Amino acid sequence: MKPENVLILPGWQNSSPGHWQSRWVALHGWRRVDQHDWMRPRRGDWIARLEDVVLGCEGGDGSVVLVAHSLGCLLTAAWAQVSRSTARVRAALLVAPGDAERDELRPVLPSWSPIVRQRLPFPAILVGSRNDPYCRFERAEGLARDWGARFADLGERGHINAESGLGDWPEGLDMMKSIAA
Amino acid sequence: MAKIFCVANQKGGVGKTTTTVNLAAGLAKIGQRVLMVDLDPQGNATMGSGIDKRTMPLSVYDVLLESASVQEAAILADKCGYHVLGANRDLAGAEVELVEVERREKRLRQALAEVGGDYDFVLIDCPPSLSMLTLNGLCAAHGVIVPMQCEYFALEGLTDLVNTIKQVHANLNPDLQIIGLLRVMFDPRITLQQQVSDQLKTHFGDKVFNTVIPRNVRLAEAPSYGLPGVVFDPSARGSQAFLAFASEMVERIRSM
Repeated sequence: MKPENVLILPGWQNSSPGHWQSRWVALHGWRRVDQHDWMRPRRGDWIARLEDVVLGCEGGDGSVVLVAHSLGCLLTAAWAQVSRSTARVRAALLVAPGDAERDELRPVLPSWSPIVRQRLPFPAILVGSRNDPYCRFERAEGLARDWGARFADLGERGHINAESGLGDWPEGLDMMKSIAA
Repeated sequence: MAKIFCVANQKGGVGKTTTTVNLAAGLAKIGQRVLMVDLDPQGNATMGSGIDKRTMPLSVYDVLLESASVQEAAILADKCGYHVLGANRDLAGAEVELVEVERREKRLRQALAEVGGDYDFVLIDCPPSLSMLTLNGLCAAHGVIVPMQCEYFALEGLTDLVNTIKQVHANLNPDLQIIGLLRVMFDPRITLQQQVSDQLKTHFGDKVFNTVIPRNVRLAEAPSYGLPGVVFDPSARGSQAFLAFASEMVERIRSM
């Protein structure tokens, strides 16, 4: 698979340079799906952008791997519900989904709730953390069940982001490779 | 019941948005109740009416997805005197999100039917491409207003639009007709423009509006102030022309 066909889907406010997603982009040449507005994420806008990028992926059989974090996980589910291009997704790694249905997040992420819970039409692993401030552990498990994703318990790693001290996160990379092979 | 018109032309940059917001403001100034619908994800007609597309709580996207009604999503542009059903980049998602939905091209028509008694005019600013969004506009409308620059390639774009309208008329919306061609950004000092203008009159006769909108710097400046020219500088030549056009529209609708 061409490196550009591994699509990195950051969450709200984008992933900082120390975030494992940004490190993976730098290390492997994978492609960050840049959104028009990271601060005011609009679901329709983000879905249209992902659709454009997937349709633009060439090389080999045109298949892609999605590597999502936080709101990027919700984007994956929302896009998969409506897109005609889901057959091109070989697999998805979904890390620390943000719970947009929480009272404090509903007003700032208005178009993202209710969360799309339709089963994903491609293999996926959802990685959850036991002390994620943006999603209770049980909620993450529930999303994995609804989406038909294998659940991986990462222990207490916060929001599994730059503050979690994961470095290049080789464990996550192994998980991704295990489903994308 | 409201008369619904699309402002459309498959050629870009011909003055669709300027026509939509200024006609809306002109109609409002002469006492008409107006709803302006922005169907372009760029949201220029929204911003040009003084509504911040980035902070709107609801938009035409929510209406197309049936998560809000027109009444809930429309915002009064108080300086302009008309209501705005705004657009922003979210709207691009509707193209993807409605792709599997039945009768997707009739979503706007259904939504507008609920507010038909609240307005005299609904004006829809269409994107330049023939997309599902444009089809929604054409399916909802009684007629199409076509702004045109009097230039060499103007007629070429018109052929595409006429074919599209014929197809929509035959298959989706038997009410649809071209209301008229509006000559915009007109500069009488340019001989070619005068010639094309004469050609339009010869070919299309009564379908060409009598009003001609002149090229006018105040109309061009107005969007940067978040206002239609008619509101920004009512005395400007371009604004006066749009006010005359609003009156001509009212007359033309009476005889429809």
